[in-house]
Amino acid sequence: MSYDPSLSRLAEQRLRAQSEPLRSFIVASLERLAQSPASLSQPAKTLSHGQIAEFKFEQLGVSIWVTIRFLYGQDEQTLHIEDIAIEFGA
Amino acid sequence: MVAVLESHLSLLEREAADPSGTNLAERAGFVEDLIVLHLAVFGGMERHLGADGLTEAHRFMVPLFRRWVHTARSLIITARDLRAAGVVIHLDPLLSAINRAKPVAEDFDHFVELNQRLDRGHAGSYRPLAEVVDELRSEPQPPR
Repeated sequence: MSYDPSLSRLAEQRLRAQSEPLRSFIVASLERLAQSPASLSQPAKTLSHGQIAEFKFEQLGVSIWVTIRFLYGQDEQTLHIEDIAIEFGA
Repeated sequence: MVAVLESHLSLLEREAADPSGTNLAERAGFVEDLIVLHLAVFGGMERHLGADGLTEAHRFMVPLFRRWVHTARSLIITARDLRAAGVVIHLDPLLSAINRAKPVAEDFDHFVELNQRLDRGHAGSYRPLAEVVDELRSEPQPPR
């Protein structure tokens, strides 16, 4: 079952702060998550009733880890993206 | 138990500040061991959060999570130096853990308020992703 992703103010700020191609990767990850959230996520310890999904991006040999925290909307059609955490590796 | 975690974290902070090793391979092996131990400490810290979301009762954990993230990032900087010298260290579990630690270490007040709101059954304010993406396409990008 697919959902419509929507962004909290914090998640939107995090997305806006990224430059391409990482920004497009995050959008694609959100769209992928919305297609199949149950299979791509697990319960989030820090977000009440929330879920967590993780994606990895490689840019110029550097790993970038993207962690998405979200909630299922009460309408059962929407995914509320609460936060997008991004960390750069080596 | 928190005192034990703090004690382990102090040791890791000291070792991560100057990873030993007489040659590159030895140093890389030592850093890999530090990462394994650092993740084990994180597992212990995360268990203290429970499974129902951050609350005010978790505030005492904030300094510990901040120290943990700081040390994790110093290990990543060391891994970058090693990579420049030709040795690649697997960092995915550490990157994942840093992102899992951020609500406590960097956004604690936000997540406590958010959880309070959610527990009261109040929906937040959200914008459709498609609408945000359309807007972003017409705006200049942030600098790299």
